[in-house]
Amino acid sequence: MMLEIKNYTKIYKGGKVAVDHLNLTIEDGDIYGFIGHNGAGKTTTIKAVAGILDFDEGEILIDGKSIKTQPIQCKQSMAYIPDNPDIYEYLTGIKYLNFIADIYGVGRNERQERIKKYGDMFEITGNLGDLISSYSHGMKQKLVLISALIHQPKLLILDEPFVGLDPKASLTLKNLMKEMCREGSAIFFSTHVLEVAQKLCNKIAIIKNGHLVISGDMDTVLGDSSLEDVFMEVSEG
Amino acid sequence: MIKKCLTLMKVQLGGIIFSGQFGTKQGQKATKIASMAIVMGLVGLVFVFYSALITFAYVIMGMEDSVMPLMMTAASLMILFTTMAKASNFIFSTKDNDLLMSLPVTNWAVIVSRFASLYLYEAVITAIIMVPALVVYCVMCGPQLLFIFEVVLSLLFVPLIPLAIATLIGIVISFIAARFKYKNLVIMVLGTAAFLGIMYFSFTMPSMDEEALMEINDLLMGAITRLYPPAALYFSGLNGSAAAYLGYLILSVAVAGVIIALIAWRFNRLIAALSAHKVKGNFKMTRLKTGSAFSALLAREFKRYFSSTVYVLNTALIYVLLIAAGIAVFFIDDIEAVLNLPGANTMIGALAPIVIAFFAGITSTTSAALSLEGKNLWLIASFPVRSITVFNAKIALNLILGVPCVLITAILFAIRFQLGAADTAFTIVIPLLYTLLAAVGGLFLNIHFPNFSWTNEAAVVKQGAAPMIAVFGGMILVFVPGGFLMLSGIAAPVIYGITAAILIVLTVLCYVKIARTNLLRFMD
Repeated sequence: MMLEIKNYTKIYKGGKVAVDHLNLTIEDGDIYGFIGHNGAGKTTTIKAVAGILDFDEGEILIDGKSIKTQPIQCKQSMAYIPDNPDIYEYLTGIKYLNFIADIYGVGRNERQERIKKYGDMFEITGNLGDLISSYSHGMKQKLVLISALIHQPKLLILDEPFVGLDPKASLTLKNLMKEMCREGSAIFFSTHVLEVAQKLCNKIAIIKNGHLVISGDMDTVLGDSSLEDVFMEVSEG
Repeated sequence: MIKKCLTLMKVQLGGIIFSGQFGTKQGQKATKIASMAIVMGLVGLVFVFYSALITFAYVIMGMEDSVMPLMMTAASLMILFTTMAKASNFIFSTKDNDLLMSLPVTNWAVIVSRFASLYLYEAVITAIIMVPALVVYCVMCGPQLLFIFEVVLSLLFVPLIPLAIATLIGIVISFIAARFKYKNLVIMVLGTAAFLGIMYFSFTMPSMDEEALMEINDLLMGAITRLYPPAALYFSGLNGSAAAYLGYLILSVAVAGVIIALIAWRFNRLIAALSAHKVKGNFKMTRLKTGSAFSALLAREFKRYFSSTVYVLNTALIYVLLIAAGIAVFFIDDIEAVLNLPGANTMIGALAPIVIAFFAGITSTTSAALSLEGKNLWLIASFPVRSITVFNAKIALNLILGVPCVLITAILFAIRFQLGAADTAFTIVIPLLYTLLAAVGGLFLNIHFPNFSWTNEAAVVKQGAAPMIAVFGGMILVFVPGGFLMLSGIAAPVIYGITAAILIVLTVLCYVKIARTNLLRFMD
């Protein structure tokens, strides 16, 4: 199992139950879509999995290790991309990527090779010498994606990854996600673009008001319906 | 427009003073507000005491007519010095520019609201400096009610001119620097030069001629007027000239009004010019350097530090002044003649550890280092590194900047004053311990008073709770042993020994607390 979420519960200060006893399992090779209304608890769950949000109850295991008790080992084997690419604007693109490579202990040759490969794929190599403060939202998003791929994570967690990307970069990302999963990694991502989720994911989960209402193989969940129909039915039910 | 201004100002002040600094749990919030109130109260008391003492001394010396203009000048110059670095940043470089420009508000409303937010802050500083002086003056000299009314009314006007001029200087510096590749470096150099320039002119005031004691008020006013020309109007105004008093009030409003009008006239252009980026788009991959996670975090801390002019001018400038003081002391043969202070040579020699410690103790880059993570906080929280590694990198930056400056200055002092082995050791060790406490204690304070939701760096670097407590707390920690040295008659080695022990204990306690802090606590 690449990711196991057991009875995950998050209660914010003030008493609001953001996520209530959520259970989810992601296996190697899965592309797992996580959908729900705004405020349903997607980002809260994703942040807890990424190890940047503490939680009250339950357990989250990354490749068998607990995010609570072994956060360093868990974080070393995964990468997280937030919904908003707020990164160090005072660094140039290449300095940022090199910094991330140092943090994850990526060797010199590997980092050079991967930065070149992904930089070219996302057509951003030429801009890597410029300050990030001069980048557009989409360029920052591309840079964050490259930084997430630089240490070849076993688990990739993405929060709304397609927002701000141009069509070509979106296609590149989708192909990369498929390639990663063919090589044994797993991907857990949230999105509001249901068509993308339906085409890309082999598994899907729908969260509503902090409760998981449906999860499982895409084919089983959908049957003869579309994801949009299922989502509307579940969310209005 | 006034309503819009007030609304914008409310948002701004909320962001500066309260945002995220006090936690969210009720008990935690109350404790933090109480602890901050106690520290700020102590700091206020130090200023009140200092201001009252100066007034008392000047009245005793027969310079009562000049004392209120003197305090007004002191307040004005303090505002000028402390605002120069932040004003331009505060008015132009806020992250909500795009949002505000898209709203149906005029440039005037935006600028006036930002200027007014700065103004309110500086008005409090003015009151802290001038009100105690006025009280002492009233008790000792029994002035007419009109005099008291004029001084109280003037409190509202005193910050206007220095604030406006500081803003203008800040803009000019930023504008010149925007044309250079390393614009932050240029801003730092020009900012430091402007600061040292004003300091130089401030210290070239004529020395007191004891034979001219009969004209001492004129002499002092001459010096004050050279320092700060509007003080002449203020002086005449308080001494009976209604026209001069009104002239001062009108001049204050006019200077501020003209400068605000100029900024409003070219606001959009100025923002564009000041935020311009050089984009090449022709990067070619070269051999990359590799390093450990800690060295990467430390290098990032350096980049972060030097990317913020207000951060550098607020901290490194003090280290520059420390080195400048060391060099000046080393090369000036007759310090007593230069300072016009008999016994200065012996006094500075004896107090060398405290003199250097003053600079070291009030300079903490760490007190804003955590808050400056701002929206990027998620990144360090997501890294596969322990929180203490991140914190150590922040402490290391402070030490790398501070320790060499302290060491160089201490050695210069030791050679210049031909200190013995024990005194040399104290001169080196005591300021180094203050540097260590400033680094560790500053971070401890920032962990307790974080603010990640700022829209402007100046709000956390200059006006955040942690930096303010770090600076003034550092002052108190230096003044106390300094006071004992000068007044108690206890042997210096005993005082330095006790001071060192207290500093070590405080540093260890702060570090233990830091080591137990998990970055996740800030992510909720």
